[in-house]
Amino acid sequence: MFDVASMQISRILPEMILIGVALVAILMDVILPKGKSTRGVQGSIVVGLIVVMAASFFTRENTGTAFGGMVIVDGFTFFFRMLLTFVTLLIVMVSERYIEGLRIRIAEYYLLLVFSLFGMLLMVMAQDLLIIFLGIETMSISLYALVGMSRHRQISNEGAIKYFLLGAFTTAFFVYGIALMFGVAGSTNLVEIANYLRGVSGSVPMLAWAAAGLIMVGFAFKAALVPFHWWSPDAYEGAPTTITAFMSTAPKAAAFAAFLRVFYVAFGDMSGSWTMILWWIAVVTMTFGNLLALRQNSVKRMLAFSSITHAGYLVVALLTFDQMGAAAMLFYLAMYAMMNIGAFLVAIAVNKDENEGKGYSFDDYKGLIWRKPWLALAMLVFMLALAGIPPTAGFFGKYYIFSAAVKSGFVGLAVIGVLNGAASVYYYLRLIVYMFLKERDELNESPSLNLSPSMIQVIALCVFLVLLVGLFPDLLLNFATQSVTVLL
Amino acid sequence: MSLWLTSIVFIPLLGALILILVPSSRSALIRGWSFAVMMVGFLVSLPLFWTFDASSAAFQYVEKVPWIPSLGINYHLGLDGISLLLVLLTTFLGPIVILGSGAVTKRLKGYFISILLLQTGMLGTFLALDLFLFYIFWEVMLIPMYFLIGIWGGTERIYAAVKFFLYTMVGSLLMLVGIIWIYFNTTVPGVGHTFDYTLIMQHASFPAQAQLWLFGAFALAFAIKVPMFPFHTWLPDAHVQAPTAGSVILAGVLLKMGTYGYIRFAMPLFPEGVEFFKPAMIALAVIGIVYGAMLSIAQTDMKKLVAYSSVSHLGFVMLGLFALNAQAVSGAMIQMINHGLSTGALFLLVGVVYDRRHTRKIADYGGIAKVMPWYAVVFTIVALSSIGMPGLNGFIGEFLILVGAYQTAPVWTIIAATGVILAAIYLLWMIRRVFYGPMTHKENESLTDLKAREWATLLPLLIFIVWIGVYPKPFLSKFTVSIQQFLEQAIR
Repeated sequence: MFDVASMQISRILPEMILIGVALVAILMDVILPKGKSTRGVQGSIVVGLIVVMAASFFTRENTGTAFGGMVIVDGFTFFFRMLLTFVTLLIVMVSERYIEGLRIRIAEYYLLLVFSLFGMLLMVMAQDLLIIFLGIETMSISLYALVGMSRHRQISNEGAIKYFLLGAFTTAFFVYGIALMFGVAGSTNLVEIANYLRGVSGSVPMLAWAAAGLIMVGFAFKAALVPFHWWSPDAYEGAPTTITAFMSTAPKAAAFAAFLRVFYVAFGDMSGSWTMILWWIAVVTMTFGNLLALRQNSVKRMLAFSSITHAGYLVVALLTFDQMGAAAMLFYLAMYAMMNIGAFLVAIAVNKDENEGKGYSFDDYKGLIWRKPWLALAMLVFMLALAGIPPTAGFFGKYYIFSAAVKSGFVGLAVIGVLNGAASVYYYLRLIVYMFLKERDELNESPSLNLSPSMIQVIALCVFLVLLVGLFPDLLLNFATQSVTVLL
Repeated sequence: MSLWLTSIVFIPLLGALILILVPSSRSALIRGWSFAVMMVGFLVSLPLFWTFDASSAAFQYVEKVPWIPSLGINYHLGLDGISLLLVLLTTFLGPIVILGSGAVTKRLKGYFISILLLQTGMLGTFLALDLFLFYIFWEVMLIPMYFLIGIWGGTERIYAAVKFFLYTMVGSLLMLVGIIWIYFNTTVPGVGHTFDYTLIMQHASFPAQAQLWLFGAFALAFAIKVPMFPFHTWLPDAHVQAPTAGSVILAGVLLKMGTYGYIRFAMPLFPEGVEFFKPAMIALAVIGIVYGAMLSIAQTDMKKLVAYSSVSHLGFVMLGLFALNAQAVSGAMIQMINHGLSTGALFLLVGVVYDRRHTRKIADYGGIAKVMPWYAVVFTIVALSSIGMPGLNGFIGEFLILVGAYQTAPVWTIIAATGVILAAIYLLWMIRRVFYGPMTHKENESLTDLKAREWATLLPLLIFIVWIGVYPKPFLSKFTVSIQQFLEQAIR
C-alpha cells in the first residue's frame, strides 16, 4: 500500500525546500531579538527562494509523475516554478520599506507570501483536480490575509472581506464541478478524465458539460475574468500595493497555468464548445476592463482594472487550443509580470499619500521626467510595454497572442483584441502625458520619493528584461515553446 | 554583405545614445553634436545617389540576418528606386531640421534626442524589407514624434500629440493583423511562412476576397498617415502645435511614409484590392485636393494654411499613384520629394517670422517686404514652386500627375486641376497680405531680414527646388525601372 519509492518524492524537491524555508523563517522570527528578526526572516526567505529556483533548475531533467499520478513534473511545471518563485522573490526583496510604513507585521507578511507560493506551485504541478483544489485554497487563504494585512485601513479590510466571501463562494462551484466530474468519469485525475472523454467521444454526458462549466467558473474567478471579476478592483485597491503587484501577476499566472493544463489535458476533446464560451469571455473581459480603466483617476486603480484587460488577452491565447497559443500565454504571463511589477513599484515610489481616496493620483506624476528622469523613463518603458508598443516585450507578447489567434482561425477575435489594445493606449498614454507633457507642479511635489535601493534594483531589472526580451524575444520564446510541448 | 544601410539607419540612434551622456547645461555642444550626427548621416547616405544602379528594379545593398528565427523574422534592409530618393530626402532634411531648431531653448537635450530617434525610425521604415521589421519602425517612430509635439509644441500641444498618437495607432493595429494574416497565408518552399517582402512578392497569391480586406487594413493605416480625406483632421492640429522643426519633419518625411506604404506594400501586394478600390481612392484623393485647398483659402493662420495645403498636395500624390500609369506614378514619386522640399521650406519660412513676432496670424503682418526683402523673395520662390510654376520643381510633379491621370480618370483629373488654381489663390493671396500693401503694424517695422543660420537652412532647399524644376532627369531616371515593375505588380 504505502511505498515511498513509488511516490517519487525527489520530484517535489523544490516544494519541500520551500516548506523548509517557511519553517526556518518562522524560527528566525521567534529566536532572533526583535530588532533583528525582520532582517533574519527576509534574508532567509530571499536565500531560500533562490535555492528553490536553483533546485528547480538542476532537477529539471527529472520529469514524470509523482504520488501515483497526483502531480506531474514536466517542462510546463518547470517554467512556472521558475516564474512564480522569481516573482515572489522580487516582491519579497522590495517590500520592506513600504510595509513598514503601513505598520504591517513583517514576519507574517513574508510567511504568507511563501505559503501562497507553495499553493501556486501545487496548482501548476497538479495532475489531479483535488491537488489543484488544494493548491488554490492554500494560495487563496494566504492571499485573503495578505489583502487585509494593512489592518488600520478600512479599505484594506473591506477588500479582504469581499475577496474572502466571493472566493469561498466560488470554491464551492469548483468543488461541485470536481464532484460531478468524479461522478461521470470515476476519477479526478486529468489523464483519466481525458481517457474517459475520448472513450465516449461524440456523446459526452450532460453532467460532464456541467462539471467543466463549474470548473471554468472557478478558474475564471481566480483569474478575474469578466463577469467573475467583481472582487478584483476592491481587493486590488485595498491590498498593500506590493501585494497588488503580486496578486495581479503570480496568482494570476498560476490560475492560468492550471486552467490551461486542465482544459488542454483533461477537456481537450470538448474543446469545440469551451473555446466558443471563452471567445465571449475574452471579448467582454478585454472590453470591460478597458472601459473601467479608462475612467480611473488613481494610478493604482488604473493598473488594477487594466489587469482585467490583460487577462482577456490571455484568454485569447488560451482558447486557441494550440501549441503556439499556449506558448504565447506563457510568454505573456512572464513579461506581464515584469512590466506590471515594475509599474506598481514606480507607483509606490511616486505615491505621496497612502491614505484612502487620496493616494496614487495622476497629479503626482506631473513633469516627473524633469524631476526624476530615470524613474520617468522606466515608467515610460512599462507603460509602452503594457500598451503593447514596440520595442518592448509587451508588444511582442501581444503580437504573439494575436498571431496565435489568427493562426487558429480567430481573425475576428484578433481584430477585437488589437482594437482593445488601441483603446488601452489611451489610458497608458495618459500617464505618459502627465510624466512628460505636463509642467512640474513644484508646490505640491513631495520632497522625496519612497524609493529604497532594492526597489531601484528591481525596477532596473524589470526595465532591462522588458527591453531585452522586446528586442530578442527568442530568448524567452524558445523556453515557452519547449515548456508547452508536453501538453499537446 | 555591406553594412551601408544599417549605418545610415543607426547613426542617428548612436548619436542620440551618446547625447544622453552630455550634461544638459552644455547647450552649444548639444546643438553642435546633433548637427554633426545628422551631417555625418547625410554624407554617408549621399554616395548612394551615384552608386545606385538605376537600370535594375531589384533591391540593392541588401542586408539580411535572422532576428527572431523561430518566427521567421529577419533583420532585412534593402533599397530600390522608390526608396532611394525618400531616404536621401530624409537624411538631407536632417541637418536642416537641426539648424531650424534655433528657437527651441528649453529642454534642449531631450528635444535633440527625440529628433535623432525619429530620424532612425523614419529611415528604418523606408528601408525595411521584412513586414514585421517595417511595422516595428513604423510604430517606434510615433513615440519621439509624440514627444516633439507634446513637449515642445504650442498651447494646445497635449491634445494635438494625443490625437496624433491615437489616430496613427488605431490605423496601424489593423495593419498588424493584416501582416499576421499574410504571414500565415504565405508558404515559401524551403522557408515556410515568411515576413520577407521579396519572397512574399514572388510566391504569394492571396484569394481575391482576402485581398480586399487586406488592402482595406493596410490602406487605412496609410491613409491616416498620408493623410487622405476624411482622415486628415489630426494633421492641422499636429502641424500648428508642433515646433517648426517638428512641422518640417512631419510634412517633409512623415507624411511620405503613408504614400510610400501604398507604393511599396498596399498596392503591389493586393492588386485585386487596388482594382476594386481604385475609383474610391481616386475620388477621395481629388476631394482631398479640392477640399484641402478650399480650407487653406479660409485660414487666417499661416501655418494652418500651409498644413491644409499639405492635404491638397498629398491628394495629388494619391491621384498619381492610383492612376496607375508610368507618367502619373513618376509624377507622384517626384511630387513626394517636391512636397518635402517646398512645404518643408514653407514651414521654415513661417517659423522665421514666428520667431521674431510670436504670431502666425496673417492679419498681424502686411507690407513686410519693405523690411525683409530677401525673405519676401525666398518666400515667393518657394510659394511659386508649391503652386506648380513651370521652371520650379512643383510643376514637374503636378504636370506628370495630371497628364497621366487624365488618361485614366479624365473627369476627376479636370476637377483636380482646379486644385492648382486654388493653390495659386491661397498662396499668392497670403503673399499679398503678408508682404505687400501698407504696413499696418508698427511692431513689424523693426523686423530683421534673414540671418545667416536661416539662409543655411533655406539655401539648400532652394537649390533643389530650382534644380528639379529645370533638370529633373537625374531624379526621374532613378525610379523609372522600379516604377515599371511596380505597375506590373499593382495592375491585376
